[in-house]
Amino acid sequence: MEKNKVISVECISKFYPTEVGLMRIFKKARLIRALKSVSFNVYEEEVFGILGPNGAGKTTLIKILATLVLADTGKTTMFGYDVKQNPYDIKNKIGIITGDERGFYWRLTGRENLMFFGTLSNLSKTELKKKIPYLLDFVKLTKSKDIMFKEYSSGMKTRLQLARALLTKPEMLLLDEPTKSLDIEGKEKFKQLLKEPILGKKPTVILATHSLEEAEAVCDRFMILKKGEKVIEGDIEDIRNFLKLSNHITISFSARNTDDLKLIIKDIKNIKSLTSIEEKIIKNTADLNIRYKENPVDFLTTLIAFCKNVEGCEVLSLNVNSKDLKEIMHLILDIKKV
Amino acid sequence: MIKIIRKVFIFFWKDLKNLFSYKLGSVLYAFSIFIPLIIFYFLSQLVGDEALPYISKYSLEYFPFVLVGLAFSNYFIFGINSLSASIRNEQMMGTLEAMLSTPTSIPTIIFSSVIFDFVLTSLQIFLYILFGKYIFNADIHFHKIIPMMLMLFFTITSFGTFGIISASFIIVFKRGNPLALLITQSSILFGGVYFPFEMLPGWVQLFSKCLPMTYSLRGMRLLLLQNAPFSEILPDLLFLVIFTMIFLPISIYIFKFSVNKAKKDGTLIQY
Repeated sequence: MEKNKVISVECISKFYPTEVGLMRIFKKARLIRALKSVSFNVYEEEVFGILGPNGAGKTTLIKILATLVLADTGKTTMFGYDVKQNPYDIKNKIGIITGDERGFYWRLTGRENLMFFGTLSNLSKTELKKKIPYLLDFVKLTKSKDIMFKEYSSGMKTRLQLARALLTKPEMLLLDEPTKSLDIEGKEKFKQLLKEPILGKKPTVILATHSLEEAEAVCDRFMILKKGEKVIEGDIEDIRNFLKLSNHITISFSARNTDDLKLIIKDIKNIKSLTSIEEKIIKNTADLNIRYKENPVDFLTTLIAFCKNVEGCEVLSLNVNSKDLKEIMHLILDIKKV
Repeated sequence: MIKIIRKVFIFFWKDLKNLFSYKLGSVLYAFSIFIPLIIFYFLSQLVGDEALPYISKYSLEYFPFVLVGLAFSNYFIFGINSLSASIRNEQMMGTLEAMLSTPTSIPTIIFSSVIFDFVLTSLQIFLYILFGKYIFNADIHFHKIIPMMLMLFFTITSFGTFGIISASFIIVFKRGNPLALLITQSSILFGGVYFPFEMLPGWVQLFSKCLPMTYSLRGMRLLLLQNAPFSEILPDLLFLVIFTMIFLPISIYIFKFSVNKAKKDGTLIQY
C-alpha cells in the first residue's frame, strides 16, 4: 500500500544576510545562500535522513520545517498545511530535537521542565501527570526526574529533549544533529530509542546529521545536500544505481601454468555483471582487479567456482569492497553536481 | 481561554521557582526594595519646607510627592525593560526556540513572560505605598479606587507600548537598546519623578507634556495625595487613553514586523 505524503517541499531557497544587528543600518548586507531550489517529499512513518557536511543547509531546512525560519521562495506543506500560513497546525503535529544543550530552564528539574513545555503544548494537567512519568521512564530519567536540569549530563539533556519532543505524541520528529554532544554509548542508546515504538506509534522522522553511520543505521531514505543544493535523494540502492556504482574485488590466484590462468580469466570475462577487469600475470600467478554490478556474495560464488574447476588453482588473496554510504557521500561531494 | 490562563500561570510558576532557587538573591531583593524609601525619607527631612512652593499643588511634604514618583516610575521601568529583558534572556538560554516550537502563540508567550515581573513590580509599589503611609507617615489616600485602577491600567498600557517597541528592537538588532535607555532617562528626568515638571524651563516643559509619565504621575499624585475628584484627573487619563489607542496598535505592528523580519533573516533565536 502506498504511504501518504506528509512533507512536500517544492523548490525552496533561503538566503541569509551577512550583516545583522545595527550594522545593517549602515552597511548593505551581502546575502549568503543557505538553500537553493531544494525539493523533496517525505512519506508517513519514514525515517528520512538529511545528510551533508557543515554549512550544507541541514539546520536551515529543519528550521523551515519547524516553522522557525521562513524560506525566501518556494512552497513547503506538511500534513497538507502550508508552513507560512498555518504554523500552529503544524506545530501541533511535530516534536523537535536539536543537539543544542540549552533550551531548558536550568534551575527547574527535568520533570518541571516537561510540565512547563507540556503546558505550552496545550496538554492538560491530567495528561501531563500520565505522560511525564511514562516518558521519563522511556528515556531512562526516572531516577533523575527531580534533579535540576543544570546537573544533567549531556546524554541526559538529549534524552530529556526526546521526552519533551514526544510529549504531544507527535506525528513527526524533527531531529537536528541530536547526538552531536553524546559519547559512543549515548549515541547507541539514542539510536535504540528511535527504533522503539513510542506511545504505541511510529512517527515520521526527519534526521539531519553529518554522521553517516547514524544515518545508515536508522534511515530508510536519504537526501544529500552540498552548499545548499540537493545533490541526490533516495535509498542506498537508488543512489548506487543512479551513480552507476559497481562493486569491486581484487583477487590473486595461482595455477600450475599460464594457460590455466588464462582459462580462468576467460571464464571470468564472460560473467554478465562484470563491468571491467584489469589483469596482471607474472609466471603462474594472476592479480585481477574486477568491477561488477551484482550482489557480492553471488559474484564471489561464481568466481570461486571457476577457480575450483581448474585443478591446482589456489586463491592467494581476496579483497571484496562494496561501497557504503560514507564512500558514496564522499564520491558525491567530490562531484560538483550529479 | 482556559488554556491561555494555564499558560500564564505556568510562566508565573516557573519564574517564581526560578526566583526562589536563588535564596540569598531573593532575600537581598526584598531588602533592596526599602533602601530608596529610606534614602528619600531622610532626603525629604533635609529638604524640609523648601520644596513646598514647587510641590504644593500635589502635597505639603516632599516625601509623599517623591514616594508616588518613585513607586510609579517602577511601572515605567517595568513596562519598557521587562519584555525586552525577558526576550533577550530566553534567547540566551535557548528557551525561546523551544517555546516558539510549541503551538503557543507569540502574543501569549510575550504576555506570559512578563506577568511575573508585573506582579513583582506591583507588589513592590504596593509595599512602597503601604510602608510610606504606615511607617513613614506619608499623607496618602486610598479612597478613589476606581479612578486609580483606570489610571493604573492606562499607565501600564501606555508604558507597555514603549516596552513592545523596545523588545522589537532587541529582536532585530540583538544587542544594546538605545531606545529604552533614551526614553527611560528622559522620562525620569522630564516626567516629574523626583521634581514637578513645572520647575523645568518652558521649552523643556513642552517635551515633558509629550511623555505619558508626566500625565500618569500627575494623575496618581492628585488621586493619592490630594484625594482629587475624577473630573480633575480626567484630562490626564484621556491623554493616556489616546496615547494607548495610537501607540499600542503601532507597537504591535512593529513587533510583528520585527518577528517576521527575524524569521526571514533566521535570527529569531540568535543573541
